[in-house]
Amino acid sequence: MVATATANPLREGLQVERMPEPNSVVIFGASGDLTKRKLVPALYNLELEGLLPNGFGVVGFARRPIPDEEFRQQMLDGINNFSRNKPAQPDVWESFSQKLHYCPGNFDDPAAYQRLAETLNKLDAEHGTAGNRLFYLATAPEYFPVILQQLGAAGLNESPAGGWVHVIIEKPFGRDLATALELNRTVQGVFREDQIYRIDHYLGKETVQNILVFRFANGIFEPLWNRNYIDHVQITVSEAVGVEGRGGYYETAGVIRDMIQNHMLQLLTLVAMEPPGSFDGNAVRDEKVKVLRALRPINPKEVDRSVVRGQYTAGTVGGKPVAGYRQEKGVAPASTTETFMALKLHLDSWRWAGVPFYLRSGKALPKRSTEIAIQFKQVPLSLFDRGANAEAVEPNLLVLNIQPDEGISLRFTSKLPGATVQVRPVNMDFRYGTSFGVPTPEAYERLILDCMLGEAALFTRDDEVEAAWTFINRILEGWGQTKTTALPGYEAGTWGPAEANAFIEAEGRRWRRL
Amino acid sequence: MTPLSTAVNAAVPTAVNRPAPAPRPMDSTAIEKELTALWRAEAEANRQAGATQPLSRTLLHTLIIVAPDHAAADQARAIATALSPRQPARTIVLELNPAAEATLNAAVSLTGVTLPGGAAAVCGEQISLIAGSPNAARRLTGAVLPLLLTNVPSFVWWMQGSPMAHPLLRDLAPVLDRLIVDSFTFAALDRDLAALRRAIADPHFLPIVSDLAWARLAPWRYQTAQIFDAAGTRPYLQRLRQAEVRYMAGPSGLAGLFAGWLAERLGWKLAVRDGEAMRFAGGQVLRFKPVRAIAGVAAGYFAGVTLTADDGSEFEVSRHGSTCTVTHQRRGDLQTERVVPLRLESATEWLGHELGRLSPVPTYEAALRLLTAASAPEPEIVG
Repeated sequence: MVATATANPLREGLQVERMPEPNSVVIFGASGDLTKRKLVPALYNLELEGLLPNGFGVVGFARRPIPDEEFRQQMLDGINNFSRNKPAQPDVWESFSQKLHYCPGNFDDPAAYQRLAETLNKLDAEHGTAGNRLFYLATAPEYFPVILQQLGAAGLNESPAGGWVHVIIEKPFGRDLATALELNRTVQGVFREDQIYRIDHYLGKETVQNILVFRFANGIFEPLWNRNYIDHVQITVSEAVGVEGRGGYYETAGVIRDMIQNHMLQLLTLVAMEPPGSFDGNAVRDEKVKVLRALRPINPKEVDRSVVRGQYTAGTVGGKPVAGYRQEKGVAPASTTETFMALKLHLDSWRWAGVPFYLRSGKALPKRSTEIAIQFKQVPLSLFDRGANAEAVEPNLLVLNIQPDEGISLRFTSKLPGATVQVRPVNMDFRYGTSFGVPTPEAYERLILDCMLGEAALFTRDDEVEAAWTFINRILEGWGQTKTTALPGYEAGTWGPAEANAFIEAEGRRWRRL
Repeated sequence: MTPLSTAVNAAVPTAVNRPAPAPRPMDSTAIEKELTALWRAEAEANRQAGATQPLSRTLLHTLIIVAPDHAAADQARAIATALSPRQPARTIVLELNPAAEATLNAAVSLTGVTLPGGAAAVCGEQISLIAGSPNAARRLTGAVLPLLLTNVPSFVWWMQGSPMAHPLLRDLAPVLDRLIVDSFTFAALDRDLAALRRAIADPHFLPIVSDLAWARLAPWRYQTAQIFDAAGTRPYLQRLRQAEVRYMAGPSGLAGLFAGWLAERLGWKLAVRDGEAMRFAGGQVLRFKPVRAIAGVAAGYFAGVTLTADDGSEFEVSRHGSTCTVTHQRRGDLQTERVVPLRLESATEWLGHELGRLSPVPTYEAALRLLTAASAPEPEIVG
């Protein structure tokens, strides 16, 4: 083995074969909850795991003028309260904290970006961060455009040392097709698409990534994964909590923007996509975007045939009383924002023609659960449901559980012990929680590390965002055309409005009871 | 015997070994029956406790641990228990215990954890086979073979010394996927390493060979490699002229293996080796330096490395208690310094590292080749 100037021969064969190049991370919105609860704990855990480069620095950027020491103390509090490894290890924190800096400034103040550039140059000199930069936009979305424009104006969109500059943009990415297109134009006016990482933390979850492993590292499922064997697919993301004081935000979002447009359509793409040629970022995203483009457009005039909305009223969740949505703080008394949505989708492709996908999501439902259920077709001829003690044979069901009990279960039919032929469905369960007794890394750790490495497979590309909004926009248009004064109500702690059941039962199917 | 720790990462729930009945004569059918009964009892207890998740039996491999005596077997069981949440497995501990009864006795148990929230997870099956005489030891292979799980790999961890001449290894080798030794415990290092190298080169020796000593060095190899990930330091790889490899005064095996890895990876061609240094054809020199042991760190453990380039720049990784310091000095001026945590140094960590991969480790094999080529030829070992 000969050392070359391009490869590091010492790294070959190590368990971690790829290490990010030295870099500095700039967090816009450094005084916010996301920074303290998720981002800095994620960086600290990466440091603990030895996954950060030697040359590394963090700059928190926010409006409030505070000294570095106060920022470090806030971040230490965040780690001690929210990190999966807590409290912070004193000697590691001592070394790590010296890499944390704070740069106060208004998001629209050009002078603040000059100060930021100086801070970053200083980090390059003092911490060896080599001119590589990761800008993390963790602010409210209204600040994204001005931050992006100011970064461009200050020349921070290019590295001074010929290195890389990446930008992570938190959700929501737009609030409809027009604003998403506008934001894409703004960000692409400053950064190239290969510099842009639109984050959806759902994709950083181990079990979501495991959907791809399950589908494409096992040979037995893929032959069945199509219209010939699958009757329909149900995707559920249910939350037991209400809006919990975030009524102001939720009024501008509703479940369609909070869950459906991003997380649920992403789950849909993973379950429905064709096998990519590789796990390369663009190969995976090429296949995902094909799914989104294959979504059969919903006619805005007939939106109610495919979509059911609902809004929770006062009720009880888990034995605790919950106020109705309209009684929540920050919610208009006559609000028509949907807190529940069920919709039926069709994918116009050879694989999925004729297979309906039912999606539902809502707040103040009986329990928190995220799952994808693939229901297979009934056996063509039932041999065992005859006679006096006959039981109907249930179709096979494969459920990918995302949260809270990550795992996979397969329902199949078995004979009950005894001299007569009685059949019952049984579940074969694989549970991460009781199979591996170890916690999994936080989604943000994986995603931030991927961004540093330039691996984009788990981030959303511009055409994905646009395709998703193109589909969603027609639903929004349809809702905009019908003047609604009240949505179908559902009591908090129930599985949505009665209309949601009628909607699926009209097609001879039922929602899964979770 | 090196003291072994069973502690695991603080984030991992601590696994416990469910109480097992005293060892008694049991054949493989009786062992499997007893395991089935234990699983049933566990499932019933889980159900009665109102658990929301069913028990899963997810076993990744069979791990056979060959323990030279009762104390080592106790350590083996503790290590396998601690490892089970991360790598659920069936572990078969072969206890070679001349002090035990002359028969071949067996004991079985399950290991598991209580997860946050109170749910139980069963993570492993443990079978102890205690051979109390050479005659009983000869029956071990026959006892082990029916207990290997089908469809998943089988590993052997030979806890102490070189297994290469042992009849038990000869019998088990054809069904093994991986043989894990610990060259840090080899009695005659050069001879035993040479035997290991011959086994790796032998196309009839099927298991992939790996070494806990390699896992012991993993954090050090990692930190050393990381220095040269940066574009600014990468060119120095070709400009390194001297290396000082330090170890806690005692056995020099770990330092030697690290040196073999470093030199091979850098493409240095060995010219001469004496007790304290290796000299290379390109003029590079690698020196070994024993340092005074520090509290809590065993003799022979790795202490650090300093690499010096042709312009006097120095790159250093040094042990300081539970952390290591990585520094880069350019002509005497400190450029960067970083303190990073050392992964817990325990057999649980090392074994977990080696069980984590199924494929051969070419960098280890290459380091071993360089190291053994530098040693004086030894007589062939029958094995």
